[in-house]
Amino acid sequence: MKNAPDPSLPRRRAKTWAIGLAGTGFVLLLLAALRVAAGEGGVGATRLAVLGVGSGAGAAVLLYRQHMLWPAICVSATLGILATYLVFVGSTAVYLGWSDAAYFFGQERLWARVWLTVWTATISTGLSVILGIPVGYALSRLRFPVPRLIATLIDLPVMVPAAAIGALLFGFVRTPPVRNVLDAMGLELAHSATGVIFVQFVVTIAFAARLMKASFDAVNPRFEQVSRSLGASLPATFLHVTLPLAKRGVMASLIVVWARAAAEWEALMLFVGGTEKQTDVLPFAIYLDWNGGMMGWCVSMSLVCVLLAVATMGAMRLIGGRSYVW
Amino acid sequence: MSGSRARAHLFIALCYACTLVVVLSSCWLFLSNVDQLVPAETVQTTDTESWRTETLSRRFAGGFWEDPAFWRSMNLSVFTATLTALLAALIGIPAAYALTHYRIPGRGIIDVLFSSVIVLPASAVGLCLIIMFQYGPLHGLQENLGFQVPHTLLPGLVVAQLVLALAMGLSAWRAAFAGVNPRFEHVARSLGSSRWRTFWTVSLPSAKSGLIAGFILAWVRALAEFGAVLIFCGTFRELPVSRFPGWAKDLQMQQADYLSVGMWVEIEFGNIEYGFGIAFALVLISAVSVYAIHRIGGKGYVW
Repeated sequence: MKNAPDPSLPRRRAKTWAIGLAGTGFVLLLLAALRVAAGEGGVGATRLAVLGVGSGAGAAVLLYRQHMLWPAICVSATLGILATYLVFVGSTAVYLGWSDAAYFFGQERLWARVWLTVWTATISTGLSVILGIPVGYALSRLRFPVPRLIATLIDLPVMVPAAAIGALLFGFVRTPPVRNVLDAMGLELAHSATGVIFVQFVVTIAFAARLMKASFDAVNPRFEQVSRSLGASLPATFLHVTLPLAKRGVMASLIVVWARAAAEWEALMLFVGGTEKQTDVLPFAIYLDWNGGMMGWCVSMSLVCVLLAVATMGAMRLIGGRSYVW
Repeated sequence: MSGSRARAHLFIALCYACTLVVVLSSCWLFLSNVDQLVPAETVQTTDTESWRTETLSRRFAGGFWEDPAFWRSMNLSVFTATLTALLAALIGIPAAYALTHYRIPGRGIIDVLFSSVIVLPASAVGLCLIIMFQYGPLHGLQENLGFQVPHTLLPGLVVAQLVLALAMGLSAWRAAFAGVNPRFEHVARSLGSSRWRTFWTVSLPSAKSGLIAGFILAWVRALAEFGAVLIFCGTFRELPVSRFPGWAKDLQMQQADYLSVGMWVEIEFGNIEYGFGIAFALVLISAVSVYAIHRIGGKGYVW
């Protein structure tokens, strides 16, 4: 009976025991680590650590005999990542502290930067969605001669280091077709909010196209065929059938694109350059203040960034985008 | 009906045109910079106080392929990125399996938190890492156990890359597992397979292509990391050789920079051709990897 669980212990009770043992082991290891960190290592900490490892091993043996070791490993990996994430964000919050947080969050300078981030990201999101919807539709429904090559070319600006994009943009805006367009529109990109919007647009357009493709892929093409067979034209079908059906996906993608635009920094650093009140969107301002040694500013701003990221992703999930397909 | 057909053609043409614009701009973004590799005739290299001797400059792409420091950087980048991707797979694949197959209380919140890392600015990631490891209990732990995480080659670089690589990899691996028909797993379970055996013989092979694509994704993302590495680790080129551990010297990784950081340093210090040479090397590596991801057929997620 290789596959039967150990009958000597009811399954539910075994699970409770295992969770208790593993939790105890974790707490003991944590206590040992804290003692070492406080400089009180030695025999006591070692004993705690050995007890903790032993307790964890006991939980593992118990789970193994119940044929539940693999699910336990999977769940503990998830919880481990979660705990690390909470420490990652929490240590920043603890480092800032309440009184400093109250001070920095009351500053005009911080909110001016938040506002700059919000409006530049909103404009660039609008631009990249206007271009992204037709591209996403084309990628989802139309045929292309070399699909993988085209997909690679669209994805590539996101997968090379963003700093390289910043460097490559110099040549891009300097050479004729793009330069003529920019000159005709009278845009000044260096050290200006226009440049920030331009960079965010360049970096998010691939995101927008990909996300829109995913949203349109989720729409059953049968509905479109029915609409077409009943005599509606293709643009009418797109406007009245495809787009409404893909609405949730489109809205969710919009939010992700916005969040990604608001997180852009590296390309800005090379291509646009830092100017107070012009290009210091939050991610860039963190770097600028980090170089200036103003820890309070950059820590409070990175907390704002974390909150923005969590809030946007939460909003996306509420709207109904699946976060792993985003 | 001819008006309708004309409108349909116009609509399709518009969609194709937009795609063409995006694809061509992407090509042009890279091609328009090729001339940066060729040095101009009147470049000044008179500054003897500069941080690098002038033998390197004034050649096509700065002659970066003949520079031993470039190859040391390449060793370092590929080695740490591979290590990061392996580590991410080791943690991320079980976590992705748990998130798609098991009921975990508060899964919605976990979802939101994990995916928020993808849209976290790299500077915030770097800063949070620095504060996590340099202040508070983790700093004391490092001091008393005699190791250091920030500004080091081995734990440092890998930790800085791991944050985003893991977040990206998780999203891909979850999509890969979610794409497996649960019926096969139920059948395997009902025929008496243990959970591990079901995973190993049914879920894993079914999700194989998606998992491999996710691994490549994590690898590329790790290699493309710039901001977090810059803030968390900085550059290593000015450190004396004696500060590097033995294994780094054995693997030829001393006094080397992470490629993306190295590119930035070269460009900032006016070594334009050399910097763009590195940039194009990075673009080439990424292009091959992204093509591989599409070739293997990772789908359902964005990258």
